[in-house]
Amino acid sequence: MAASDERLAQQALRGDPEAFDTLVRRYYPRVLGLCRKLLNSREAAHDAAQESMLRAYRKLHLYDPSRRFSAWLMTLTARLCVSLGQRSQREPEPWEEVGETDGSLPDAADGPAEATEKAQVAARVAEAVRSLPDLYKPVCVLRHVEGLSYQEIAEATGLPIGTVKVHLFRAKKHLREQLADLAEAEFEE
Amino acid sequence: MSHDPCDTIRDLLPAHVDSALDPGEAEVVDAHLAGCVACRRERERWVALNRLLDEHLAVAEPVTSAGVEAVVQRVRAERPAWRVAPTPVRFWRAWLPAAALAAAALVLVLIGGYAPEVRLADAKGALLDQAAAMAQGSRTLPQSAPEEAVAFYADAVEWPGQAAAGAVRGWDSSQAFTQALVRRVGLAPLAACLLLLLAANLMVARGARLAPRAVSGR
Ligand SMILES: [Zn+2]
Repeated sequence: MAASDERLAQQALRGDPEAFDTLVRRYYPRVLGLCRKLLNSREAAHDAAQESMLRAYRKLHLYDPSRRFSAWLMTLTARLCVSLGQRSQREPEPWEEVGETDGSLPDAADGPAEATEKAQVAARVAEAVRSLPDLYKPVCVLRHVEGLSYQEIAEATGLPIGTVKVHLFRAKKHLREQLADLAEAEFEE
Repeated sequence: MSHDPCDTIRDLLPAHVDSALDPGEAEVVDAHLAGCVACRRERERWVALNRLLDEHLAVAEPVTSAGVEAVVQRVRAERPAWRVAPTPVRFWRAWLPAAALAAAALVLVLIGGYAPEVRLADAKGALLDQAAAMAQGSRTLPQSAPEEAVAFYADAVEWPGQAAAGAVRGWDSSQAFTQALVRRVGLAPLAACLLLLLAANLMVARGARLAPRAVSGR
Protein backbone atom coordinates (compact mmCIF):
# COMPACT_ATOMS: atom_id res chain seq x y z
CA MET A 1 0.00 0.00 0.00
CA ALA A 2 1.27 3.47 -0.86
CA ALA A 3 2.14 5.74 2.06
CA SER A 4 -0.42 8.44 2.88
CA ASP A 5 0.31 12.04 1.90
CA GLU A 6 0.33 13.11 5.51
CA ARG A 7 2.88 10.45 6.43
CA LEU A 8 5.09 11.36 3.49
CA ALA A 9 4.99 15.01 4.51
CA GLN A 10 6.14 14.09 8.00
CA GLN A 11 8.91 11.89 6.62
CA ALA A 12 10.06 14.76 4.41
CA LEU A 13 10.14 17.04 7.44
CA ARG A 14 12.33 14.52 9.24
CA GLY A 15 14.81 14.88 6.40
CA ASP A 16 13.85 12.18 3.89
CA PRO A 17 14.00 13.98 0.50
CA GLU A 18 12.52 11.03 -1.39
CA ALA A 19 9.29 11.35 0.58
CA PHE A 20 8.68 14.78 -0.90
CA ASP A 21 9.68 13.54 -4.38
CA THR A 22 6.76 11.13 -4.11
CA LEU A 23 4.41 13.96 -3.19
CA VAL A 24 5.63 16.03 -6.15
CA ARG A 25 5.03 13.13 -8.54
CA ARG A 26 1.63 12.49 -7.01
CA TYR A 27 0.38 16.07 -7.07
CA TYR A 28 2.18 18.02 -9.78
CA PRO A 29 -0.37 17.15 -12.51
CA ARG A 30 -3.26 18.26 -10.29
CA VAL A 31 -1.45 21.40 -9.21
CA LEU A 32 -0.69 22.22 -12.85
CA GLY A 33 -4.30 21.53 -13.78
CA LEU A 34 -5.46 24.02 -11.16
CA CYS A 35 -2.94 26.64 -12.28
CA ARG A 36 -4.09 26.22 -15.89
CA LYS A 37 -7.62 27.03 -14.79
CA LEU A 38 -6.68 30.02 -12.70
CA LEU A 39 -4.07 31.65 -14.93
CA ASN A 40 -4.26 33.02 -18.44
CA SER A 41 -1.24 31.52 -20.12
CA ARG A 42 0.19 28.05 -20.29
CA GLU A 43 3.64 29.37 -19.49
CA ALA A 44 2.42 31.25 -16.43
CA ALA A 45 0.59 28.11 -15.29
CA HIS A 46 3.74 25.98 -15.55
CA ASP A 47 5.77 28.55 -13.63
CA ALA A 48 3.06 28.81 -10.99
CA ALA A 49 2.74 25.05 -10.62
CA GLN A 50 6.49 24.66 -10.11
CA GLU A 51 6.54 27.59 -7.70
CA SER A 52 3.64 26.02 -5.78
CA MET A 53 5.60 22.80 -5.26
CA LEU A 54 8.67 24.80 -4.20
CA ARG A 55 6.62 26.86 -1.77
CA ALA A 56 4.96 23.79 -0.36
CA TYR A 57 8.41 22.35 0.33
CA ARG A 58 9.70 25.58 1.86
CA LYS A 59 6.64 25.94 4.06
CA LEU A 60 6.27 22.27 4.90
CA HIS A 61 7.05 22.97 8.56
CA LEU A 62 3.86 25.05 8.69
CA TYR A 63 1.71 22.18 7.46
CA ASP A 64 -0.49 20.56 10.12
CA PRO A 65 -0.40 16.79 9.49
CA SER A 66 -3.81 16.35 11.10
CA ARG A 67 -5.30 18.12 8.06
CA ARG A 68 -5.50 16.81 4.53
CA PHE A 69 -2.24 17.48 2.66
CA SER A 70 -3.96 17.90 -0.72
CA ALA A 71 -6.27 20.59 0.70
CA TRP A 72 -3.28 22.45 2.13
CA LEU A 73 -1.37 22.21 -1.15
CA MET A 74 -4.32 23.29 -3.28
CA THR A 75 -5.07 26.24 -0.98
CA LEU A 76 -1.46 27.34 -1.27
CA THR A 77 -1.58 26.91 -5.06
CA ALA A 78 -4.86 28.83 -5.43
CA ARG A 79 -3.52 31.72 -3.36
CA LEU A 80 -0.30 31.84 -5.36
CA CYS A 81 -2.27 31.89 -8.62
CA VAL A 82 -4.46 34.71 -7.33
CA SER A 83 -1.44 36.81 -6.40
CA LEU A 84 0.30 36.04 -9.71
CA GLY A 85 -2.91 36.83 -11.58
CA GLN A 86 -3.12 40.21 -9.90
CA ARG A 87 0.44 40.97 -10.88
CA SER A 88 -0.05 39.97 -14.52
CA GLN A 89 -3.25 41.96 -14.94
CA ARG A 90 -1.16 44.93 -15.92
CA GLU A 91 0.06 42.99 -18.95
CA PRO A 92 -2.83 40.74 -19.94
CA GLU A 93 -2.01 37.85 -22.21
CA PRO A 94 -4.52 36.36 -24.61
CA TRP A 95 -5.83 32.92 -23.69
CA GLU A 96 -4.29 30.39 -26.05
CA GLU A 97 -6.25 28.25 -28.44
CA VAL A 98 -7.42 24.92 -27.14
CA GLY A 99 -5.44 21.92 -28.39
CA GLU A 100 -1.98 23.42 -28.41
CA THR A 101 0.83 21.08 -27.46
CA ASP A 102 3.73 21.68 -25.16
CA GLY A 103 4.76 18.22 -24.11
CA SER A 104 1.43 17.62 -22.40
CA LEU A 105 -0.22 14.36 -23.33
CA PRO A 106 -3.38 14.41 -25.40
CA ASP A 107 -6.59 13.26 -23.76
CA ALA A 108 -6.90 9.78 -25.20
CA ALA A 109 -10.04 8.71 -23.36
CA ASP A 110 -12.55 10.17 -25.81
CA GLY A 111 -12.81 10.23 -29.58
CA PRO A 112 -11.36 13.29 -31.34
CA ALA A 113 -14.69 15.09 -31.83
CA GLU A 114 -15.85 14.49 -28.28
CA ALA A 115 -12.47 15.48 -26.94
CA THR A 116 -12.63 18.79 -28.77
CA GLU A 117 -16.12 19.55 -27.53
CA LYS A 118 -15.21 18.59 -24.02
CA ALA A 119 -12.08 20.70 -24.22
CA GLN A 120 -14.14 23.66 -25.37
CA VAL A 121 -16.54 23.30 -22.47
CA ALA A 122 -13.60 22.93 -20.10
CA ALA A 123 -12.06 26.10 -21.52
CA ARG A 124 -15.34 27.98 -20.98
CA VAL A 125 -15.58 26.73 -17.39
CA ALA A 126 -11.97 27.68 -16.71
CA GLU A 127 -12.56 31.11 -18.22
CA ALA A 128 -15.58 31.62 -15.97
CA VAL A 129 -13.55 30.66 -12.90
CA ARG A 130 -10.78 33.06 -13.92
CA SER A 131 -13.36 35.84 -14.20
CA LEU A 132 -14.36 35.33 -10.55
CA PRO A 133 -13.34 38.04 -8.08
CA ASP A 134 -9.99 36.92 -6.61
CA LEU A 135 -11.49 36.70 -3.15
CA TYR A 136 -13.75 33.83 -4.18
CA LYS A 137 -11.29 31.80 -6.25
CA PRO A 138 -9.63 29.77 -3.48
CA VAL A 139 -12.89 28.61 -1.85
CA CYS A 140 -14.35 27.85 -5.27
CA VAL A 141 -11.48 25.57 -6.33
CA LEU A 142 -11.35 23.86 -2.94
CA ARG A 143 -15.04 23.06 -3.32
CA HIS A 144 -15.05 21.96 -6.93
CA VAL A 145 -11.50 20.78 -7.59
CA GLU A 146 -10.81 19.18 -4.22
CA GLY A 147 -14.41 18.34 -3.34
CA LEU A 148 -13.97 19.70 0.20
CA SER A 149 -16.96 20.33 2.46
CA TYR A 150 -17.62 23.89 3.65
CA GLN A 151 -16.24 22.94 7.06
CA GLU A 152 -13.05 21.52 5.52
CA ILE A 153 -12.63 24.67 3.42
CA ALA A 154 -12.92 26.78 6.56
CA GLU A 155 -10.20 24.68 8.20
CA ALA A 156 -7.92 24.72 5.14
CA THR A 157 -8.17 28.47 4.57
CA GLY A 158 -8.57 29.60 8.16
CA LEU A 159 -11.73 31.52 7.19
CA PRO A 160 -14.86 31.46 9.40
CA ILE A 161 -17.49 29.05 8.10
CA GLY A 162 -19.92 31.95 7.55
CA THR A 163 -17.40 33.65 5.25
CA VAL A 164 -16.91 30.42 3.31
CA LYS A 165 -20.68 30.20 2.80
CA VAL A 166 -20.90 33.78 1.57
CA HIS A 167 -17.90 33.42 -0.77
CA LEU A 168 -19.27 30.23 -2.28
CA PHE A 169 -22.76 31.66 -2.66
CA ARG A 170 -21.42 34.67 -4.56
CA ALA A 171 -18.99 32.55 -6.58
CA LYS A 172 -21.77 30.20 -7.64
CA LYS A 173 -24.07 33.08 -8.62
CA HIS A 174 -21.29 34.57 -10.72
CA LEU A 175 -20.46 31.24 -12.36
CA ARG A 176 -24.10 30.51 -13.11
CA GLU A 177 -24.42 33.84 -14.90
CA GLN A 178 -21.24 33.21 -16.87
CA LEU A 179 -22.16 29.64 -17.76
CA ALA A 180 -25.92 30.05 -18.11
CA ASP A 181 -26.09 28.36 -21.53
CA LEU A 182 -23.87 25.41 -20.56
CA ALA A 183 -25.66 24.91 -17.24
CA GLU A 184 -29.00 24.99 -19.04
CA ALA A 185 -27.78 22.34 -21.51
CA GLU A 186 -26.59 20.24 -18.57
CA PHE A 187 -29.96 20.80 -16.88
CA GLU A 188 -31.90 19.62 -19.92
CA GLU A 189 -29.99 16.33 -20.01
CA MET B 1 -38.67 44.01 0.95
CA SER B 2 -39.93 40.80 -0.49
CA HIS B 3 -42.58 38.63 1.06
CA ASP B 4 -42.25 35.86 -1.46
CA PRO B 5 -41.13 32.77 0.49
CA CYS B 6 -39.51 31.45 -2.72
CA ASP B 7 -36.94 34.30 -2.64
CA THR B 8 -35.70 33.26 0.78
CA ILE B 9 -35.57 29.61 -0.20
CA ARG B 10 -33.69 30.33 -3.44
CA ASP B 11 -30.89 32.07 -1.60
CA LEU B 12 -30.39 28.88 0.38
CA LEU B 13 -30.46 26.51 -2.59
CA PRO B 14 -26.74 26.65 -3.57
CA ALA B 15 -25.74 25.61 -0.06
CA HIS B 16 -28.60 23.10 0.10
CA VAL B 17 -27.21 21.40 -3.01
CA ASP B 18 -23.82 21.21 -1.27
CA SER B 19 -25.42 19.75 1.88
CA ALA B 20 -24.00 22.72 3.76
CA LEU B 21 -27.13 24.12 5.44
CA ASP B 22 -27.74 23.94 9.17
CA PRO B 23 -30.22 21.13 9.97
CA GLY B 24 -32.95 23.67 10.81
CA GLU B 25 -32.50 25.57 7.53
CA ALA B 26 -32.35 22.33 5.55
CA GLU B 27 -35.66 21.24 7.08
CA VAL B 28 -37.34 24.51 6.06
CA VAL B 29 -35.99 24.20 2.51
CA ASP B 30 -37.01 20.53 2.23
CA ALA B 31 -40.53 21.36 3.39
CA HIS B 32 -40.80 24.16 0.85
CA LEU B 33 -39.38 22.08 -1.99
CA ALA B 34 -41.94 19.35 -1.34
CA GLY B 35 -44.69 21.75 -2.30
CA CYS B 36 -43.04 24.10 -4.84
CA VAL B 37 -42.26 22.90 -8.36
CA ALA B 38 -40.59 26.17 -9.38
CA CYS B 39 -38.05 25.96 -6.56
CA ARG B 40 -37.43 22.28 -7.25
CA ARG B 41 -36.54 23.17 -10.84
CA GLU B 42 -34.34 25.99 -9.57
CA ARG B 43 -32.55 23.56 -7.30
CA GLU B 44 -31.92 21.23 -10.26
CA ARG B 45 -30.23 24.12 -12.06
CA TRP B 46 -27.75 24.48 -9.19
CA VAL B 47 -27.15 20.74 -9.33
CA ALA B 48 -26.43 21.08 -13.06
CA LEU B 49 -23.93 23.87 -12.39
CA ASN B 50 -22.19 21.74 -9.78
CA ARG B 51 -21.94 18.85 -12.25
CA LEU B 52 -20.44 21.16 -14.85
CA LEU B 53 -17.85 22.53 -12.42
CA ASP B 54 -16.95 19.19 -10.88
CA GLU B 55 -16.53 17.56 -14.25
CA HIS B 56 -14.39 20.24 -15.84
CA LEU B 57 -12.44 21.76 -12.97
CA ALA B 58 -11.24 18.66 -11.17
CA VAL B 59 -9.16 17.49 -14.09
CA ALA B 60 -5.44 16.99 -13.71
CA GLU B 61 -3.28 18.39 -16.47
CA PRO B 62 -1.59 15.53 -18.34
CA VAL B 63 2.16 15.92 -17.91
CA THR B 64 5.01 13.85 -19.35
CA SER B 65 7.12 12.01 -16.80
CA ALA B 66 10.11 14.06 -17.95
CA GLY B 67 8.13 17.17 -17.07
CA VAL B 68 7.40 15.86 -13.57
CA GLU B 69 10.99 14.75 -13.00
CA ALA B 70 12.23 18.22 -13.93
CA VAL B 71 10.08 19.63 -11.11
CA VAL B 72 11.28 16.90 -8.73
CA GLN B 73 14.89 17.89 -9.45
CA ARG B 74 14.11 21.58 -9.05
CA VAL B 75 12.51 20.94 -5.65
CA ARG B 76 15.42 18.73 -4.61
CA ALA B 77 17.85 21.57 -5.24
CA GLU B 78 15.88 23.61 -2.73
CA ARG B 79 17.25 23.99 0.80
CA PRO B 80 14.31 25.14 2.89
CA ALA B 81 15.01 27.14 6.02
CA TRP B 82 13.55 24.44 8.25
CA ARG B 83 16.16 21.99 6.93
CA VAL B 84 19.23 24.21 6.70
CA ALA B 85 19.01 25.97 10.06
CA PRO B 86 17.02 24.28 12.75
CA THR B 87 15.47 26.66 15.26
CA PRO B 88 18.08 27.84 17.75
CA VAL B 89 16.81 26.38 21.00
CA ARG B 90 16.61 28.85 23.85
CA PHE B 91 18.88 28.13 26.79
CA TRP B 92 16.16 27.43 29.34
CA ARG B 93 14.36 25.26 26.83
CA ALA B 94 17.49 23.18 26.39
CA TRP B 95 18.43 22.65 30.01
CA LEU B 96 15.06 22.53 31.71
CA PRO B 97 13.98 19.13 30.32
CA ALA B 98 17.39 17.68 31.19
CA ALA B 99 17.22 19.08 34.72
CA ALA B 100 13.66 17.81 35.13
CA LEU B 101 14.73 14.38 33.99
CA ALA B 102 17.58 14.41 36.50
CA ALA B 103 15.15 15.49 39.23
CA ALA B 104 12.77 12.67 38.36
CA ALA B 105 15.62 10.18 38.49
CA LEU B 106 16.75 11.63 41.82
CA VAL B 107 13.28 11.25 43.32
CA LEU B 108 13.16 7.64 42.12
CA VAL B 109 16.58 6.96 43.63
CA LEU B 110 15.45 8.51 46.90
CA ILE B 111 12.31 6.40 47.01
CA GLY B 112 14.05 3.18 45.99
CA GLY B 113 17.34 3.65 47.80
CA TYR B 114 16.98 5.95 50.76
CA ALA B 115 13.49 4.98 51.85
CA PRO B 116 14.50 1.55 53.26
CA GLU B 117 17.41 3.22 55.03
CA VAL B 118 15.07 5.72 56.62
CA ARG B 119 12.88 2.87 57.76
CA LEU B 120 15.95 0.99 58.93
CA ALA B 121 17.11 3.99 60.92
CA ASP B 122 13.63 4.24 62.42
CA ALA B 123 13.73 0.58 63.43
CA LYS B 124 17.18 1.00 64.91
CA GLY B 125 16.04 4.11 66.75
CA ALA B 126 13.04 2.27 68.20
CA LEU B 127 15.27 -0.53 69.49
CA LEU B 128 17.67 1.98 71.02
CA ASP B 129 14.75 3.81 72.63
CA GLN B 130 13.55 0.51 74.08
CA ALA B 131 17.02 -0.38 75.36
CA ALA B 132 17.38 3.04 76.97
CA ALA B 133 13.93 2.78 78.58
CA MET B 134 14.77 -0.67 79.96
CA ALA B 135 18.15 0.52 81.22
CA GLN B 136 16.50 3.40 83.08
CA GLY B 137 13.92 1.02 84.51
CA SER B 138 11.19 3.22 83.06
CA ARG B 139 7.73 1.77 83.10
CA THR B 140 6.54 3.50 79.99
CA LEU B 141 7.64 1.91 76.76
CA PRO B 142 8.42 4.07 73.70
CA GLN B 143 5.59 4.81 71.27
CA SER B 144 7.05 2.88 68.35
CA ALA B 145 6.18 -0.80 68.12
CA PRO B 146 9.36 -2.61 69.24
CA GLU B 147 8.27 -6.07 68.02
CA GLU B 148 7.90 -4.88 64.47
CA ALA B 149 11.17 -2.99 64.78
CA VAL B 150 12.99 -6.10 66.00
CA ALA B 151 11.66 -8.18 63.13
CA PHE B 152 12.53 -5.54 60.59
CA TYR B 153 15.99 -4.94 61.96
CA ALA B 154 16.71 -8.66 62.03
CA ASP B 155 15.58 -8.98 58.41
CA ALA B 156 17.73 -6.03 57.38
CA VAL B 157 20.81 -7.52 58.94
CA GLU B 158 20.14 -10.96 57.51
CA TRP B 159 19.05 -9.98 54.03
CA PRO B 160 19.04 -6.23 53.26
CA GLY B 161 17.32 -6.65 49.88
CA GLN B 162 14.21 -8.24 51.35
CA ALA B 163 14.07 -5.69 54.13
CA ALA B 164 14.32 -2.87 51.63
CA ALA B 165 11.47 -4.28 49.57
CA GLY B 166 9.43 -4.77 52.73
CA ALA B 167 10.18 -1.24 53.81
CA VAL B 168 8.88 0.28 50.59
CA ARG B 169 5.75 -1.86 50.71
CA GLY B 170 5.40 -1.33 54.41
CA TRP B 171 4.84 2.43 54.61
CA ASP B 172 1.49 2.55 56.29
CA SER B 173 0.54 5.93 54.87
CA SER B 174 1.81 8.32 52.24
CA GLN B 175 2.01 10.95 54.95
CA ALA B 176 4.45 8.87 56.96
CA PHE B 177 6.48 8.27 53.83
CA THR B 178 6.62 11.96 52.96
CA GLN B 179 7.61 12.84 56.51
CA ALA B 180 10.37 10.25 56.48
CA LEU B 181 11.60 11.48 53.11
CA VAL B 182 11.57 15.12 54.17
CA ARG B 183 13.46 14.22 57.33
CA ARG B 184 16.08 12.39 55.32
CA VAL B 185 16.49 14.62 52.22
CA GLY B 186 15.46 17.99 53.52
CA LEU B 187 12.48 20.06 52.49
CA ALA B 188 14.24 22.48 50.12
CA PRO B 189 15.87 19.92 47.78
CA LEU B 190 12.65 17.90 47.68
CA ALA B 191 10.58 20.98 46.82
CA ALA B 192 13.09 21.89 44.11
CA CYS B 193 12.77 18.42 42.58
CA LEU B 194 8.98 18.66 42.57
CA LEU B 195 9.04 22.13 41.01
CA LEU B 196 11.36 20.88 38.26
CA LEU B 197 9.00 17.99 37.59
CA LEU B 198 6.06 20.37 37.38
CA ALA B 199 7.97 22.60 34.96
CA ALA B 200 8.82 19.57 32.83
CA ASN B 201 5.15 18.60 32.73
CA LEU B 202 4.11 22.07 31.65
CA MET B 203 6.73 22.05 28.91
CA VAL B 204 5.60 18.69 27.61
CA ALA B 205 2.00 19.94 27.53
CA ARG B 206 3.06 23.12 25.71
CA GLY B 207 5.20 21.15 23.27
CA ALA B 208 2.24 18.90 22.43
CA ARG B 209 0.04 21.91 21.73
CA LEU B 210 2.66 23.54 19.50
CA ALA B 211 3.79 20.32 17.86
CA PRO B 212 3.22 21.30 14.20
CA ARG B 213 5.20 24.49 14.68
CA ALA B 214 7.86 22.98 16.89
CA VAL B 215 10.39 22.78 14.06
CA SER B 216 9.64 26.29 12.80
CA GLY B 217 12.52 27.62 10.73
CA ARG B 218 11.91 31.21 11.65
ZN1 LIG C 1 -40.75 28.13 -4.14
